[in-house]
Amino acid sequence: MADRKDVVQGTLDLLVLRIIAAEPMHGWGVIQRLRYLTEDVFQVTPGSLFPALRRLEENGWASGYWDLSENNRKARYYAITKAGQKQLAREKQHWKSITTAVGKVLEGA
Amino acid sequence: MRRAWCRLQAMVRRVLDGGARDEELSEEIRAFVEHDAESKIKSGMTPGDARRAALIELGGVEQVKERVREDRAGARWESVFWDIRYAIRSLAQARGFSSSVIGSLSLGLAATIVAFAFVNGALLRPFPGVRDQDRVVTLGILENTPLGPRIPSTALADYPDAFRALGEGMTSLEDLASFTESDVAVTLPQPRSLPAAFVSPNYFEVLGVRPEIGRTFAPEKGRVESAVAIIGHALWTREFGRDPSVAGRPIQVGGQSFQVVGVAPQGFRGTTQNPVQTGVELWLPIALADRVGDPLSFGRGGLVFVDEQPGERVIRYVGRMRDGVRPDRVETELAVMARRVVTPADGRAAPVMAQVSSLSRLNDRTDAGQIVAIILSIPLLVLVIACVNAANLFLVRASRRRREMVVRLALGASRLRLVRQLVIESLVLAIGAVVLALPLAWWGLQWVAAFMTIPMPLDGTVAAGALVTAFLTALGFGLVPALQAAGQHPSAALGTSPAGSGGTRSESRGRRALVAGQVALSLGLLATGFQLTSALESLAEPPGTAPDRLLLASFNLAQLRFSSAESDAFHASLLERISRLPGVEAAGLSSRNLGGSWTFDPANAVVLDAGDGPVGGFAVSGSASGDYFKAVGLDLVQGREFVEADRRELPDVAIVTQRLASQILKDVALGRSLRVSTPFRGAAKADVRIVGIVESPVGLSGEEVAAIFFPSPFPSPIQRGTARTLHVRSEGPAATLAPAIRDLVAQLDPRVPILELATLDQKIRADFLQQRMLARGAALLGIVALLLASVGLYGVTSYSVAMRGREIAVRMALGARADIIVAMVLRQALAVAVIGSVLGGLVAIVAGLLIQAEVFGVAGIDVATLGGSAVLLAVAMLLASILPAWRAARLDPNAVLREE
Repeated sequence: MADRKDVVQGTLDLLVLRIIAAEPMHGWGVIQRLRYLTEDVFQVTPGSLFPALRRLEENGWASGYWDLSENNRKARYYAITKAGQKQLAREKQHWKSITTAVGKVLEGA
Repeated sequence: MRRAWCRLQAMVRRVLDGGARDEELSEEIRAFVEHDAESKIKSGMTPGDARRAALIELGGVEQVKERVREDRAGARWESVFWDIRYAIRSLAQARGFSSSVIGSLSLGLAATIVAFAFVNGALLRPFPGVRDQDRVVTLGILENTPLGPRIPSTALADYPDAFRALGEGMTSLEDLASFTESDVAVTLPQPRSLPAAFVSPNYFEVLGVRPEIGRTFAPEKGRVESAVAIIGHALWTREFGRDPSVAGRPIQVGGQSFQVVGVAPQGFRGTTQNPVQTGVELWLPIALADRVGDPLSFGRGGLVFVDEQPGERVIRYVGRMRDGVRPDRVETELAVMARRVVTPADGRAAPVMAQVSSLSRLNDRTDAGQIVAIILSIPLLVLVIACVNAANLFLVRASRRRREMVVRLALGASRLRLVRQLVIESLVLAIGAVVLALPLAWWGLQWVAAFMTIPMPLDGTVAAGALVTAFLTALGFGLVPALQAAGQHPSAALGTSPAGSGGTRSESRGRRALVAGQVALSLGLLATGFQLTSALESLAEPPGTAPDRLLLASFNLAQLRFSSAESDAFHASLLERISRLPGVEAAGLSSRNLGGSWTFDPANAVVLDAGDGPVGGFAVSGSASGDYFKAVGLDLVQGREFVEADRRELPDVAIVTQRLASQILKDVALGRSLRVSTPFRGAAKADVRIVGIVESPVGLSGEEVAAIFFPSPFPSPIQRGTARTLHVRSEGPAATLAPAIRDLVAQLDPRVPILELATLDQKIRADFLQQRMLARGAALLGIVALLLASVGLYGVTSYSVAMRGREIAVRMALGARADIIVAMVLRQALAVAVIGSVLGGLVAIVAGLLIQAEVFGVAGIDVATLGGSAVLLAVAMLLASILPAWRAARLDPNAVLREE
């Protein structure tokens, strides 16, 4: 479980970071947004999402706060921090280099 | 780096306000569900369906929380922290359980720690202060003589050559040092007789002993003739209050002035100490051995005896092996060299043996394993028993906590987590046990230190060993019950009764057998220990002598180079003055010390020849002057006592005991002549006439002793005529006379040390210290075993009560009274105890018979102590089983049956 988790977890963290980079968002919103953006390919369960949000927060990449949601309910929002933006840029770069590399191999073969 | 810092901060924050964070997460998840449900309502679901669907999608609030918890930064450590907190809290609630486990484990651990400390101190590093003890060897050259192995003495004039030859010949050694030991009289200013070693200049360097302050003898090359001394740390502390300016000060040794040049490091007491001796307190140059040492002392070689003539000394050698050399190679080399070095003083060439042994006893690979195994086996056995008891108690607890475990499983805790939780509980208990065991072990070591002078510190090595042992123990008793507890399935265990998972019949029989074995062991040890103790107490009271009314004071004027005439004068005026002290009934002097009992030893044995046939045999001999016979309580039966006019250089009259008269002289003794000599070279021969017969003293094993007395000591190469023990019979308790006698001696000559000043019963107590400690040790182990057996019985009984909860509840529901339930549980528990005590009683009886036969020559059983031990055992067993029985009787049948 741990070995698969590393890949998925890293990717999930990157995606969540990207989503809250656009605008602060609560957990439910992140899941909806992910489904929308990936056209339902990524159906993240709360069991994976909440740990991911906690991780981002504890690494100092996101900061959580309570606010009223669009339909006037209390929800915990997550906003990206400066460190988070740097991390996102790094991860993006990293991701690009990997996909390019993998792509080259796959195309070339 | 920054990230690590953030995570650390997060961890700390969480630990500080863990509860609040947890609450926040719940709220967030709740908000999430509501959000989800709302969106589902918007898409057309009914509110109820929407909420249900949202909850299903979530997969359970607690499960999500658990996943978050498991994932978090340092989650593993944090959850361990929570587990520890939880463990401590729940263990604090189960006080009876925790204290039983900690108590019994700490006993086992303490015993193991003591054994560790012993192995560490006495076997690995028996000589504190000496560097790399496994490379330091003592070289023994022994002669075989008819009286046993003897270390040959070397003429001091020949010593430098012998030492040089040996040093050059032993190529397996880096360096070789020599020493010879004897007691010396030191004036500090109070006169004391102290064990001293006369050493070669390189002695401290060979041993790698660095002085605490000052210097060693090393700077003085070759033969050190200057009167310098190095004092021991204990002496420095005792007499000089650790004054650092002691170096350079003069001290009086053997009536001569020596300059203190250094202080030995703490703990260093030479290299020949036997565990019960105090060891060397003073080091002097070997070149001065003949000037201040008393050459004719009986050596401290244990079974080996020493035979020194004036101008001769027993020289001992100690060397440091070169890297990679093993003691057997040194021994081979020494065997060759020994023949060249030993030149028999009297021309008789005795067979010579070489003996090389390392200071660190573990170096003898043949013995080491065995010694360690023997020393560790009993404490480890105790520990294993404690461990099994703890496992039993854990099983009981697990059966009570079944629901808790199941609920936690159902709430999403992983099995691994539960196992870890339970193992952490056992670790917490084990650490508690270590905390308790360390002071217990310290106390135990103090107790051992009373008769062992080898330091056995509770150092880091020992503490680490204790922790590792505790850790392994915790795994040992915690893992099996933990796996069993976590192995159950939630749905099954929530509904059904605990019956059936309590182990098979044979398992429970095994548990009972174990407890019975513990009971047997504890009764056996208890009764044996008590029998030994009471037997030794009765030994301390030799019949008829009133030992508390006999005071003994020993002197050896040879330490001060007194001539024979000088010492005679000293003894005479001492005797005269003491006889006039108020409260003194009789006072006499003898070369024998009554405190040493009447045992035969070669030093004061004489060979008797009655002239009618072959040699008559050995007899114990001694001098008697003053009112000696009256003082020691031997009445004159026939003839007369000695008078002043009987004194000669070589005696011509003697007094014998009745036993000797009947044994050797066939009862016609008075007036007969005997030829007396000693078994040593250069022995004198004398014909003596028997002028008196006294009662026979009673020896240790109750037999009458054959002894012969002379007006002054029979000249012996081993016992020079100057050693005397003053025997003072007082009207009241003799101990009160001690200060007056000390004063008298100081008035006569302030330089003369009293070697030993004690009443006979004090001395007997001291002499039997080791045996008494052994007896008490057995009794103590018995009590430990008893405690363990109680915990064991308690555990097994509680377990069976827990397993039979349903049966008991049904019985009670059907009308069984509480007393019937109690009786039922007690019957089962005590059956185990009875079987165990019958076995233990048999062990004790056999041990008792053996001890009686061994120590006193007669076999017997001490019914009182055996009975007492049995009563003690019965009370403990009853206490151990009454608690679970009472608990069984207080079961609420409704509650138990509803649980099913």
